[in-house]
Amino acid sequence: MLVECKNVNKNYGKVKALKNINLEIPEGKIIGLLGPNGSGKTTLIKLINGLLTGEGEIFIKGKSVGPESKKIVAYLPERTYLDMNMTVNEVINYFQDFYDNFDANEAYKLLEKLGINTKDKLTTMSKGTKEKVQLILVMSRKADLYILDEPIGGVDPATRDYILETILTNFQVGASIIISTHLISDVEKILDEIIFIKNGEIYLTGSADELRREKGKSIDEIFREEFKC
Amino acid sequence: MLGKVLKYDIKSMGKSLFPLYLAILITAIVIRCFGFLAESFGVFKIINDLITGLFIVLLIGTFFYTFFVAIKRYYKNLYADESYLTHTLPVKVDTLLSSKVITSLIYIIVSSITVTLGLLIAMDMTAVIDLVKVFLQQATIMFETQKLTIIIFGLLFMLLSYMTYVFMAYAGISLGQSHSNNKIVFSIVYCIALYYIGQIIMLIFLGIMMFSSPELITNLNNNTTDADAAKNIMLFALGADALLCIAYYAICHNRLKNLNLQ
Amino acid sequence: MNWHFENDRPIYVQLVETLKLFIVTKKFKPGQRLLSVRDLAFEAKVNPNTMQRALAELESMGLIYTERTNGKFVTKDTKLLNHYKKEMALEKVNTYFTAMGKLGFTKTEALKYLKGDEK
Repeated sequence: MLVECKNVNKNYGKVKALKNINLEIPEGKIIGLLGPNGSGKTTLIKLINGLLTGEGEIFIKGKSVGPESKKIVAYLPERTYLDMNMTVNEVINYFQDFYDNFDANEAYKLLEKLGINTKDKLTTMSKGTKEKVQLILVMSRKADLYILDEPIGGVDPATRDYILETILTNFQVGASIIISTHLISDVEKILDEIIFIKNGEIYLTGSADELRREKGKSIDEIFREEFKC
Repeated sequence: MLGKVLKYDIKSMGKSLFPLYLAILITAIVIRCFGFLAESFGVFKIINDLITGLFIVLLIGTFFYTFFVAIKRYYKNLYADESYLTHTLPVKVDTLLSSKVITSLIYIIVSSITVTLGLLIAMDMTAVIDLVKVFLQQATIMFETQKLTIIIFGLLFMLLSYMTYVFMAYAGISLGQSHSNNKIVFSIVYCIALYYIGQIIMLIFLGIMMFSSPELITNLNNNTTDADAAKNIMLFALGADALLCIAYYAICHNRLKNLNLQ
Repeated sequence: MNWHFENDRPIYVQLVETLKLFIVTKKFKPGQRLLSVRDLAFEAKVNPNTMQRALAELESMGLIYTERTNGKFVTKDTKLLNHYKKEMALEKVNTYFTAMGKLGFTKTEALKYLKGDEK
């Protein structure tokens, strides 16, 4: 198992963001982490990445969350997390410095295809371009686990297609990708497995195609039914 | 890994500080040139006095600005949006923290040197240098040590005092960020609290020391010279600051290890 | 190449149908070498795992075969291709008659429509 979560709990004061999560994520699959806002998706993701501390155990390829696990996890958060005063070249050097498994050539190639000038400072770029740069940086890492938090939220359809394409092309053999989103219909075609999370608890897990066969509905429709307001 | 983290911390803080250093040196040169001109053309004297006044303000402000840049870097890199990148790097918390401390240290030293250089370039410092010489003379008598020792310990003391404030601010920020709301307000509150707690603890220890072994700083037994007493007070101050720094570092380390970025 | 999939049916099932169609209509020529799983998946904009599963099913149907070092190829067995073509044609016929039945027509009436006798 690539990721194992055992009895994971996370409380913010009195609010229980995650309740007794037990989860296993296999290798070589694209997994959709689906749930409404505030369901605990981002909390779980942050715990796996070491940005939050909670109770319970989380193992990534047998390692606890720490510098060793961070080497093999590539994370794309919802926000822009790069130093805006840097140029794209500087950011690429930054990633090269800290990550052994970062493929700078791949990054340059992808950036060139989009016509992004690597000498430009990040502050000069539009929001959409910044997001593309971040995606390219993350997908240029030869990681074992990619975690993408709302990668297609707030972008135009063309960019959305580009993002999904980039994800599919960089899908390393043996690596897994967790896509957390509430825009299910745009993404569900490429999902192997899905995890429904609601109110901090795992509601449903399974193969996407099997669920479609079982219920005769799209994942999006199943989701709407289960999470009706 | 420390080297790599240092590289980027130094670069980032440098971007904020180097323009200032440049401004100081250029202004210093201008003042010196105007000074020469002032000897021949009186009008330059007025301008020069004005610039010199602003220059002094600039120099004093440099220390505050250096402190501000150090604190801002700590916050931005470890708690703002950038922190999502920093904390997912395969780097230990110790390394991240150490790098911030070392960089703060480096830049206060560089700022100090730049300010001193600026002063030396800008004006005729013989009067000031004479004052310093007199001061050193008095100090060597009081402490009964070499001039060099005075200078070294003096600089060390100033450096450590500065770093104590830096550590205190770091700890205040880290503690404040542990809360879900009003993080900045809490940070300020914690900074103030840490300051006063630090002072109180120092006073308590001073009190204990006075009670248990007053001979360290008085000459009740006629065993302690004034010089020894002065040295002990100095050592106490250094030791107290060092302990505070260690305590603040421990707080930062603990808060960073139990990270909660929301 | 028209790769279009609906979200309410298993993707791999639709993929099998699409690939079968391409093979039967000779869009993928008999004996043609297929792209790698990854490249094919990229073209179809699907997950490589799904493509892998679909290709495995096509292989079990005999429509494609794997040559160890050379890759995957479309079958040259024209008899088999015709068999599947026939099968798919019959499915279409069935669909037509079922739809007409839902409209309330008998099979004979439906046949008349087909022949163009009902205007």
